[in-house]
Amino acid sequence: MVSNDMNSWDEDPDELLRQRWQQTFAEFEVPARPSLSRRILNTSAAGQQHKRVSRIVNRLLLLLLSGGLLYPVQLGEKPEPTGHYAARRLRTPLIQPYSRSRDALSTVPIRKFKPLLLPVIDSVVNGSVSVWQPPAHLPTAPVIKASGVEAMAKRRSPLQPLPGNLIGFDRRTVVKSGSNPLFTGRLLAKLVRSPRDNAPIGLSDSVAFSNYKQQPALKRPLIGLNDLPPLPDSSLLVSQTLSDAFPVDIARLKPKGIPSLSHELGVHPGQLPTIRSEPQASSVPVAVRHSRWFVEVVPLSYFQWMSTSPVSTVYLSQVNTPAAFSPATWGYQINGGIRFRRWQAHLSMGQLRRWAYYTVNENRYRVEPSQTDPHRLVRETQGVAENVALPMVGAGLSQQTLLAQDRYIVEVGGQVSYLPTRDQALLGLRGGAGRRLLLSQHTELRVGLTVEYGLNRLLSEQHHLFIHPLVVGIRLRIQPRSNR
Amino acid sequence: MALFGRTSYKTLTELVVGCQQRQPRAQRAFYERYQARMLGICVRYTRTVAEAEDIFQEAFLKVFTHIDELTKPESADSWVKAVVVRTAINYYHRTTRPQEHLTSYEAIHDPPASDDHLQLLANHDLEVILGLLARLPDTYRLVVNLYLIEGYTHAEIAALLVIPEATVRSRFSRARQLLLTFVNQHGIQRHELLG
Repeated sequence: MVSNDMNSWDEDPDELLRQRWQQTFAEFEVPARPSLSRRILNTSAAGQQHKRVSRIVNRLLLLLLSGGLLYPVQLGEKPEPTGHYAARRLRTPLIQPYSRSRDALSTVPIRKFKPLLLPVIDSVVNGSVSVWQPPAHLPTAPVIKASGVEAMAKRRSPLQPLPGNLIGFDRRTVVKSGSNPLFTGRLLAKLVRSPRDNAPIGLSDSVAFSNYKQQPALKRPLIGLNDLPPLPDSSLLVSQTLSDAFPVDIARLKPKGIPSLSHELGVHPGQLPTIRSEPQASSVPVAVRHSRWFVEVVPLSYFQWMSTSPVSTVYLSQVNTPAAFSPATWGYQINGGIRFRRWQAHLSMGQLRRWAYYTVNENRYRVEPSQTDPHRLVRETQGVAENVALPMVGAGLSQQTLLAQDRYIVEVGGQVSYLPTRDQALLGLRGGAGRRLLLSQHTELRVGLTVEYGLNRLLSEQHHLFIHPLVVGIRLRIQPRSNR
Repeated sequence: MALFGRTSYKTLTELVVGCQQRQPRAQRAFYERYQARMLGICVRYTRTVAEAEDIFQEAFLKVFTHIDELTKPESADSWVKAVVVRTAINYYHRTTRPQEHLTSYEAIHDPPASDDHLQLLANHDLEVILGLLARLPDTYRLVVNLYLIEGYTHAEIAALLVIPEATVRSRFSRARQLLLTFVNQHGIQRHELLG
């Protein structure tokens, strides 16, 4: 009869029974159905999803970094002021009527004629365009009127009115006392440009009537622009040289695309309004330096070189580390700090994952008989796998330098991190390079690669290994826009 | 130091580490290593294959979720088995059926079972034994598995099931009687077992 007494004697007969049953079921296996296996492996896709998320994050960071490098945003260049641009356009040759000879002047040989239809550009200073204004004592004289006949300069002008609304130049040759003709483009341009020339537009003091005998004018009609053959040049005004068979009627030359001016053309230049182009506020980068803070997030990956402690009582074999940039080595660090010129100080917090697995061969042995040796000694071994997430806090100091027109950043510095769960501190050197990107008018993003090398060594959990860390990360920093 | 990952798992340590790193290939290899044996354990603890698969799936989810806690990879075999057994125990703690069948079994007035019979029973066909185990009440089957096959003592079983040790002994005793009763009902003669 089976006894239910609670004593050790009951265990002995059951021991044999237990051994028989264990031997019966020792090799008992039931293969799982494929659907069940698939279901189980898919549920463990939480790890796959984690890896997928890591892959997506890595690709996004790589895309952001490469986009910042391939499509630079120029921070340091200033746009051209509109006034300067307008002045530069005016310097292009606009009208180039051609005359065969200097003597037979049926038209005015003008090479670089600054059109009198537009205000005279005095100078371009600091992006503003000012109109030259002659002194007030000079007699005002109309330059050109859209209709009617006026002398270009009454004081010395030999111009005579012509029938109709044409302004032309008669055949009298007005020769400058010098060797140059009267209205050469170079001279006229010089006259027009020079702010110190007191002569009215069109004449200089050195111009005078010559005693050359007047020659009868060629009876050739003056024609306007519309009568000219079409020109291929699509410049603002006709810039192609015209044949002497088609003298140009200046009065009928009209600019194609220039909008109408607000002032009358008959107004003396001294009375013309000053055109000033104010630099656009948005065209000039504004550096706001009232904030010196910055915040950055640094996803990390962890390399480590391991060495054994020289005073260890055991020896290690099969010391391995996980692959770099594998999901198990990812950590992160969040930094916040302040900047002062090129220096910056920050506080940091984050998490570092440390991996190490190795086989420990202890100084203990057991007897394990074999077929050949009944007293074979086998050393006790154990495998150790350390997979820990180490929170860390720290502080650092570094210096940043901007390169290539403030588009790229290079940083060198140091950081001290404390691992509270291991009571270990890590002193490391930091270095990195990155790119500046504009987020908005007042905020910029800095993306770059950072590397930190530990100057001291960390200990493994069981103090068997020295770990030399090398941390690589991608830095994402947000800070107010500055020149530093 | 590998730069872009390992592709083969030559030792159990590497396999465990690969699972801890959430490598799909390591998880698949780890599953293939243990799936047949662990499902067999689950079949011993359950009445039906469906229940066994439920326990099996729940156990492996726990294995993959908590494999980071395995600090000694070479003990993965016993650790996985322990997880499966505990999952089976928890499963029946959640789904404990009323023990109304026990009264019907207690009413059977058969001669008490001897250890020799149970030893002979152990030498019988596995499928028959499994069928007999499945006919036991859940609590009796748990005790038989834990005591006879897993090798736990009465005290350890009492701690696992959170019941008094005397209850464990009585349940095992009754389970032995029931097993032989089932053998007699199946028509297995003692002389055949003795032969």
